[in-house]
Amino acid sequence: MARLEVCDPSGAVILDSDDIHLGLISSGHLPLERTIERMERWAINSPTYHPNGVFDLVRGVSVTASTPLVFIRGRGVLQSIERAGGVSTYWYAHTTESTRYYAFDKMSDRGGGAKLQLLNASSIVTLDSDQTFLNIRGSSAPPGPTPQGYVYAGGATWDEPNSGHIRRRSTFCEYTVNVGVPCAAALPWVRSMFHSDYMGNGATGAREGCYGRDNDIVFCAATEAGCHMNTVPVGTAGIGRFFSIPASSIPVATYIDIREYPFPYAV
Amino acid sequence: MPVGLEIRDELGRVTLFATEGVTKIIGSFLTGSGDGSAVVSVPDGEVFFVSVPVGSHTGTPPVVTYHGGGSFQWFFWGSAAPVNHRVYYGVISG
Repeated sequence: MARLEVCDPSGAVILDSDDIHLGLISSGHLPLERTIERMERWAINSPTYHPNGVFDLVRGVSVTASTPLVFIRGRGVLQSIERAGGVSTYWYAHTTESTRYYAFDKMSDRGGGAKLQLLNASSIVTLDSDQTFLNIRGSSAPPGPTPQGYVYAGGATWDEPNSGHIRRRSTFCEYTVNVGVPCAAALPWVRSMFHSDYMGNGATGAREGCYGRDNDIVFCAATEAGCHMNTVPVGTAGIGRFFSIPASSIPVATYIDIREYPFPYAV
Repeated sequence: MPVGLEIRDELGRVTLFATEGVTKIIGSFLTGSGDGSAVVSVPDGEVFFVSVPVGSHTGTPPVVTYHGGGSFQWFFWGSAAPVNHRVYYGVISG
């Protein structure tokens, strides 16, 4: 079967037309915005949640891709991925206007001028030199949680005002890993957990995320956008701390060097 | 002198310059709608993966974890109906 292999002098394969490569399809600041209202139980064991007037801003991006992979730079915690047809929308909370995304997909024939295109035996494009190919620079895992309510041992916790009552502040725990290149980062899956509020009770939903910043990966757990708040004792976690943190498996982040990709960019 | 592949466009600009292995997808599998595991063959190098719903994403996605040696596990944790995902796996470089 015809194929193309590029090898180094030791015989190690650099490129192989049988392998599927990914290319950048877009980059930019998160263009979509919406708000989600938090829900709250008014009493212990109440079966009903009520809107509590606290709104979380989430920003997002939609990409048309068969195999989307999105990295972000600047603070953001992935809340959900919606998919309809071939369009996936990624929603992030705790972002800023400067949070950037870099979206990739399997390379495909997107037209254009002079270029090299490789196909596999099924005539599927596996590499197209017109597209900036994904080159993941490395991976990193954060440390596990502590009994004192830190999602990451050695991490820092704090809270930020949202609106209204002190119970409705957002709580964070972050852990930074220096990777030595200006990067954007992604997690293949995330953990859900709870944190207490700043009145010493209540269980508030939280989610984990990851982003690039300067030369660092930052692992971040934070209040879930549109979270459900429960009035229950928080046990030993303490005020403004996290609990019910999954620890049996911890997601591993991957990161890219943003200097290798155009910004902003659209196919 | 580096060894690899360099490609330029019609204006002479370098569009691809590879002197070492780049990130690539080497296979995929389906999770179905129940907890499970899979062992796949992977070459040397750090593994990465992307989990994509088959069809629309209107329920609970699987939590997919990689345990080394080509071993993946997944489970569904949520109240909504589990959604079948295709997991694409590959190596970061190599």
